Order: sequence, then C-alpha cells, then structure tokens
Amino acid sequence: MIISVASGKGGTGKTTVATSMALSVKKITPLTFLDCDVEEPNAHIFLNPVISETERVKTVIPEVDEKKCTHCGKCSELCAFNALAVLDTITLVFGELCHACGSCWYFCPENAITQKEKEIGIIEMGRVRDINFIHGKLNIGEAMSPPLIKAVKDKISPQETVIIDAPPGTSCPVISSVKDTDFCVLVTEPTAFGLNDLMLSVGMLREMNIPCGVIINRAGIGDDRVINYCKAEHIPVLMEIPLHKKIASLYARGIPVVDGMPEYIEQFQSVYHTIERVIRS
Amino acid sequence: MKIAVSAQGQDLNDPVNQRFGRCEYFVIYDQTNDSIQALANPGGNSSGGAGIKTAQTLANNNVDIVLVGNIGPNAVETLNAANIDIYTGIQGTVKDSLELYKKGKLPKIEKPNVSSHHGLK
Ligand code: SF4
Ligand code: SF4
Repeated sequence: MIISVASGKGGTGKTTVATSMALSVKKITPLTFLDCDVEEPNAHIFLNPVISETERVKTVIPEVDEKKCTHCGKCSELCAFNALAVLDTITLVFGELCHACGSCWYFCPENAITQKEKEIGIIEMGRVRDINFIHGKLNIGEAMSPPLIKAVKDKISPQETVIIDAPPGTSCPVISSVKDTDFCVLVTEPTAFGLNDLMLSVGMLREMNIPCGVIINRAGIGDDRVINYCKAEHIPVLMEIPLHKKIASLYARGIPVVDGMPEYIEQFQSVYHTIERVIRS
Repeated sequence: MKIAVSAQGQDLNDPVNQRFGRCEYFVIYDQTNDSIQALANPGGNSSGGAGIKTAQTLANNNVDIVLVGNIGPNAVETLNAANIDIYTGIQGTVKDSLELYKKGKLPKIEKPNVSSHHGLK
C-alpha cells in the first residue's frame, strides 16, 4: 500500500504530517518513507536518518557534432521543449530543458547528434527508527525533477507499505510523485487560499483516479469552507490538527509532532486504518 | 541593419512588450531601405524555453539588433551566439523606443536582466 502526502501549496505542514504519520504507522507495519520533494527535501531534518547508500541518477541530453551538422534546423523544429537552437554556424543545446524524448537524435538527417550522459541528482538511502528512508536530491540549477522522482520511486515495490512526501503544488513533479499511489492525503489550511489550492489538488487526483482524504492543519484559524467543501464532494476529513503553540514550536525545531506530543500517535494510526478501509473497499 | 523591437502589435504605434520570449510580435525596422515589417513570435505559445525559440527566429530573419525590456539567460546566450546585439530599456510605443535607440539612450547588454521562466510568472 502506497500513501502519498501532498498539498496544494508549500508551508501547510505537509512534511510534519508525513513524518508523524510514518513514525506512528511503523508501530503497526514495516514501513518505507520516501521524500519525493527532490528540489527541497526536508523530511530528513525531521527524521534524522543514517544514510548508508548513495546512488547517482543520470539522464541523457543531445550532443551535436558540428563537423556533421548542416544547421538544417530539423532538430529544433522537432523539439517540443525548445531545448535546441539552430543558428547559421552553431547549434546550441540547452540541456536543462531537454526531456530526453529522443526525437532529435532519431531524426537528425546527418546523424550529427549523439547522446551524452548528464547527472541530474542523487538518491540517498538509509534507516531511522525501523523505517527505511529514501530521498532524492536534485542538483543545483537542474530543472528536470520528474526523472529523479521516478528513480526514487523505482526503489519501492507495490507490496510494501510506503509513505511518500510529495512536493507542494499541482505541477509535473507532484504528478510524478503521486502517480501510482493508492491514496493521497491532502494537507490544507481552513482558509480561502487553502480551499483554492485544495480544489486544484482534488481536481488533479480525480483526473488520475487516486482516492484522497484531507487533513486540516491549523484548524481554527479560518472558517468552515474547507469542511463544507469536503462534505459536498464526499472527501473524508481524516484529521484536524488545531493551531497549537507547542506544535508550531516543534515544527520550527524540526521535530515531528508525535515526538513532542505522543498523544497524536493514535490519531495518525486511526488515519492509517481509515485509509486501509478506503483502499480495500 | 535590421532592428527588431519586442511589441504587443504589428505597427510602429503599438505599445512595446517588456517580455522578450512572450511578446506577440516583433516590429522590424530595416535601416537599409527604411521599411517596416512585423514578425509574429512563435515562442509565445511555448510552455518553456520561449526565449530560445524567439531568439532563433530573430536569427533566422537576419536581425542584427534587438530592443527589449526583460530578457533571460537562455535567450541572451542564443542571441549572443547569433551575433545579435541586445539593447534594453524599451518603453512607450515601438516608435518611441526606436527614437530612444537612435539617440543612444538605450543601454547595450550582454547578460540577462531577469532569471529563467520570468515571463511565465
Ligand atoms: S537536425 Fe542534425 S543536421 Fe539538422 S540542425 Fe539539427 S543537428 Fe544539425
Ligand atoms: S531529446 Fe527530445 S527534448 Fe531533448 S533536445 Fe532532443 S528533441 Fe528536445
């Protein structure tokens, strides 16, 4: 069973929820935790894993042999991502825009394009408190996170119980992270902005056919719009975490809620059981 | 000498567009025969790398100089490789900006003045 934890925007407490859930669920079943927010991984700050293995992740980009290139412009016409600029005397490659689709090297009439390996980031694996911990770190300046996210996810098998901390938002990296997960927990705030982002996330998940539930963080700061929306859309509200000085200070110090307030363990466990029931039903 | 101005319309009296990769048109003034020509910008519809596509189109149309507002690193790299000079600080209409250029009021740049993806925000 693979559960992803996502949120329509950053700063909703998504990582606190994901790490607290992991620390609660590992008491019930063996667990792997994946941080797929490869642009800004921060779950390790909360969990402090001991990293025992590192792997480099590579992708390929085109390399143009100027001796063979006639500057016909075909490759740049074909590239849907504008990663190539063909000028009179030189062909430029913008590797950070390349999606490695292969069109350019396949169709170049002069066979002037070869594939060059390029490292996009690393995967680190380790353990902490009986949890298998895996995260990806995108190289600085690298824009293409989906291939790295996929490489991180390739480390798990569908038979395991896995919690995935997804990046915030609703763009490609989020889609890559929640793809093929059995359930997605959406963390939101009970505010107008929270509701707006939640609706975008729900729309994305419905398109992907992934069931979801909501955890409302900082409950009490806003109004009932999020709850009413969930009711109307038949989305389960799995848990409400009140705005609490102690929780905020734990968060600021990088401590999972359940470590500072063990009374939350049971609540996270019952969220897990609810999810189990939804998936099995 | 062909001078292209990043614009919202096809005419000398149309307002300029500050966004290089996402402008609707380039109004191109050809000094050799004192003529005006409009070029639709194919980069505008791209989801990413718009500046690269735009710069390549200018190069293919033998532009020598481009007058812009904001321009990012990939576009600058492509224009530099194509030996197209970049002047920044356009304002008002295409005509106003060409006047400013002729008076030497627009600074020449060789480096980007905004980061990547600026035009998408
Ligand atoms: S398709 Fe091949 S020959 Fe044509 S411009 Fe691209 S690299 Fe050069
Ligand atoms: S491999 Fe595909 S995405 Fe990359 S430069 Fe070639 S055509 Fe563009």
